[in-house]
Amino acid sequence: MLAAFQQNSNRIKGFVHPAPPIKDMVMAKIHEELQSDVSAYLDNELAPDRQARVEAHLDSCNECSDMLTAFQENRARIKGLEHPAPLSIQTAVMAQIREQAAKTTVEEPSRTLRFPDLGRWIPDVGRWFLRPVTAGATGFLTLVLILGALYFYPTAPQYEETLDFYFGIHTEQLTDTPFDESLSSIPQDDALESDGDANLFLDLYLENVGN
Amino acid sequence: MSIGTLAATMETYSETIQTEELDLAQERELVQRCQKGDVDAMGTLIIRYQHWVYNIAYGILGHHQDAQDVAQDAFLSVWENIGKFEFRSRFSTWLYRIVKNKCFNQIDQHQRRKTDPMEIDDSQPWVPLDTATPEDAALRSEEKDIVHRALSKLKDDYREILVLRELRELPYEEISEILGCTLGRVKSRLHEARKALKKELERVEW
Ligand SMILES: [Zn+2]
Repeated sequence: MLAAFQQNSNRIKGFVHPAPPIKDMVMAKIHEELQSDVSAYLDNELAPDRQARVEAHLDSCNECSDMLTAFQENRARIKGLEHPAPLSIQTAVMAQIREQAAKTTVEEPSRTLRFPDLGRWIPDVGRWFLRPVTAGATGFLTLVLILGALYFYPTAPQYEETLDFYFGIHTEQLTDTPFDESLSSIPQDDALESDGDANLFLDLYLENVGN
Repeated sequence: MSIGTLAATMETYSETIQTEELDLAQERELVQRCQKGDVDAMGTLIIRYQHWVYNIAYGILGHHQDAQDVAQDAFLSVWENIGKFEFRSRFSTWLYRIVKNKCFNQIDQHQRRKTDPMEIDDSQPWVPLDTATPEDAALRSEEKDIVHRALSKLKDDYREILVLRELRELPYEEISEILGCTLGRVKSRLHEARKALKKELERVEW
């Protein structure tokens, strides 16, 4: 019995082996985690307690403090790229804007009547037409459309033919059913604006249909 | 002829650089005047912001002429779209967002302009040095050249965030608004960008 216990005890002791470097592993984890904040530490963008923890780690970790130094140096080197803007930016942009503004005032004298907030209520397509550049073009297109519509609108002779047609139909209908009230709403009154025209149509009707 | 005088004969640069921040009330007033079509107010905004607009673009693009084109284009966009600005952010934040977008459009165009599709190497960002003009050369000392070279090797995201933070010195909050990402994302991206630049500079210098 005792021998068996001793044997088991030895077996259990056999499981024991040197501990892994737990301390080192924990420290590596902490280092890794704090290193990811070196950048934010440099920018002063950490919460105060976190800032203090990173600072304490920097005192004891060469890798992280070297990284911080490199980041600081590189920041200065990028800053060194800054140089004055060419004046031509200002002159070129202002020339273009003034040219645009001059065009807009010629074509759209009441520019101040535009409501800046209007844009908020109009979808993008609508706003596109309100842009200074396109507003002129939109105005011009509208003018062309109106002029075009007027030019191609049915002219007087065509109108007469249409009336002639209506007149014939209506007269026929009226002679067939002279007391039908609904027919009086047909725009024959509009068509027969003058007695002269009416007589002309009547003559034509009698010539063509009446006999 | 020294590098300095060569640069000076080529282009006139603003002598007094107005870079101090406009306070919010001044900024708001100028923007509102622009929204009513006041050209002079726009002139004032350009004078106040051209330095940073140009330098941010130059930092991201690494090319003088492109930076100048982007800066002009950005200000024209501001003028055309100022009616859409609703004061939900600082004007400068909105402006830098426009600049950043224009820079990346420019980079895309350069990438697409490379005729042979087989030549495009996605692992390499646009390297501006092969298109550098004598003017670029004049503006760059050897030191600046090294930094530009290292920056040009970085991912676009990294170059952009380094320029906004190291050059323009913007706070994380404003950077997050410009980039449209969270504060946590700004923090981690900036850290990665700085590590990448450190590595690149070590490589360039050896
Ligand atoms: Zn460490």
